[in-house]
Amino acid sequence: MSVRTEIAYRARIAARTLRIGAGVSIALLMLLPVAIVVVLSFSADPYLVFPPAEWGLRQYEAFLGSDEWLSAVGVSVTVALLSTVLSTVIGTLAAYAIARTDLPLKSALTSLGVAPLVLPGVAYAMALYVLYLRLDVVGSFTGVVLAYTALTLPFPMLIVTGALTRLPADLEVVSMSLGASRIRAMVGITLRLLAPAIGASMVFGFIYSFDEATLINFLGSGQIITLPKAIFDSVLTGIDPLIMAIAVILMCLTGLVMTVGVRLRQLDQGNTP
Amino acid sequence: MTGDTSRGGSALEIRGLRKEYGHSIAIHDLDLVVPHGEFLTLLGPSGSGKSTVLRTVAGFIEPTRGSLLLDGIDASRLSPRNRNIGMVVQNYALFPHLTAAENIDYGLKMRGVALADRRARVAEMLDLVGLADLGKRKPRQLSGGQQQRVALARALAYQPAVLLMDEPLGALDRDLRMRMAEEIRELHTKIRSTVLYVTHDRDEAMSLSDRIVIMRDGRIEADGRPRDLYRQPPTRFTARFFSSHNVVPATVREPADDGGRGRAEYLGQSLRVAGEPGGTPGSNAGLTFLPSAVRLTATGDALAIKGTVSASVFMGEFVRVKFRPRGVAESMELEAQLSIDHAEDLLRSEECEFFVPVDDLWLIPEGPGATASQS
Repeated sequence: MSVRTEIAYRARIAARTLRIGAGVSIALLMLLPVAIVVVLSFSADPYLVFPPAEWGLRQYEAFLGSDEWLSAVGVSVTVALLSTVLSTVIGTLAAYAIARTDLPLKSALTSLGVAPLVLPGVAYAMALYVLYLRLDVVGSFTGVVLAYTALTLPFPMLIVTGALTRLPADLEVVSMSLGASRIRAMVGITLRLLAPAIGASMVFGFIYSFDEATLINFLGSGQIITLPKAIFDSVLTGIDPLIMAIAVILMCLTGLVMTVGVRLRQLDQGNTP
Repeated sequence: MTGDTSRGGSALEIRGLRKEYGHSIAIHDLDLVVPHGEFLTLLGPSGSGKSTVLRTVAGFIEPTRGSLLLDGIDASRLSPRNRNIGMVVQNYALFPHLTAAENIDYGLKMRGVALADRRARVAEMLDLVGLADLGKRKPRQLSGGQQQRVALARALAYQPAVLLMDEPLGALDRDLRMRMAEEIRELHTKIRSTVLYVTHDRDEAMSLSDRIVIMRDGRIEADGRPRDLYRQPPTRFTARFFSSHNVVPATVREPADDGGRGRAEYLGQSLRVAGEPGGTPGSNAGLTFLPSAVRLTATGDALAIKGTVSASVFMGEFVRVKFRPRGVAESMELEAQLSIDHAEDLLRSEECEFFVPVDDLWLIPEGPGATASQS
């Protein structure tokens, strides 16, 4: 073996070792906390101890048996559903205006719609809080739903607008030449073809608002208790191991819903002729 | 089918169509009559207004003025869905979520045709375009050619008064485009439907159409059979854009008589040539000829052009020679297609004399007195 190939060989080995090392450390860093949470959720101890002294489903039972926690879940689901539906309707209409008309200031409109995703969460929450104080709607359910609507608007603004831009405008034109009314062409063809994109944007919007913990602390005023808010409050008074069970359930559900979302996005890409 | 040629009247009649966008005028008072069964192409460069005409006929653009008759019925105020037109657009715009058969069925369904009739009609159309076995496929599972056939079948299924085609081949490369054009022509000879076709591609227009209307700046520049427009272009624009003729400046000595012959002068040579009627003695004109009409030797009466060769390119069947004529504007460059035997010894910047037999010349008068020739 010549010197040159010897060096190349060693370099390859070194590179591979580095790659594997980096991969393992990243996996550990990311998965270790998750693993710890999963382990802790199956502890039967009344306090957080690692590793658990006793094993069992105690935390899950406590969570599912608690009216307080379940009502927080209910509030979270309601707020997330309402705000996602609202933002999807608004965002889809906006997407139509942006992709299909000669509206002036289109790019400004897009940036504004996407802004809640780009602005620092705490700054946005603070600003809204000040506004809500003036309007005297802090702690109101409608106020929270509207705030989350604005917060999840970027998803349809990005996903639906993208899908609509990929759809040829001629589809509607041809559909009308074939005898469809304008509404029929819009709903039967365009909206039908946008369905996967709309579905995906709803999934992402739902997860985002379901999981949101900053805004609710400012705007909920202790009266609207969503699940993240409840967790937040519970952590303030000492860590209840029950939270670990919630975390595991949330991770599983989020993973499931995300898979649906990703699958819908793939479907959407497949729509382009 | 749609091309019921025995019926009187015309499939499409456009009267005084005008479209203004603010201060700019997209179409100037345009009149056009398309008889039943005719394949008519609107040909023009981009911005000539050809697509605007088509989309106005379809009902997607509201004209500023003018009226529109489809099968003798005033359709000016009808919405697109009630106009009984078929439409084929660029990239075909097939509905990606529907199968080929469902695409073809769409127009029938929208028209409330009974289910049994729809089934029979879809099968008939699939058969007509040679896709009987592929009805269950989605558009993305079909080749480009098959997609085009589905688009045609979809637009023809309900027997529209006119089939509108808006640059359907515009996005394809040259070879594929010519193959697709052949398919369109084949289908048209089979069913003789009335077609209004829009394109900027001369070869496409020439090979497809019964009649070509050349548009320029929102006006009709020329109107005629492809062969006539090619051989005897009525205007200089047509000569250049459509026929690729050479045009040299000349003077009218005698305007064309009833037999279509007149006398023209080019750099002291007075020639008896065929041409468009119009012009007055002494008025300016263009003398046009095809590159393939140029010879290196004179046989009989011929126009002689002295000039220098500026380029010669071997093209296989012929040699394309570019040359600058002497005695006219310096920037002018003419083109000749010469047979290889003759052109081989032509060198760049060489002084040469070219000849065009008088029978291959065509005179186009211009300026006042010259008819715009839109008949």
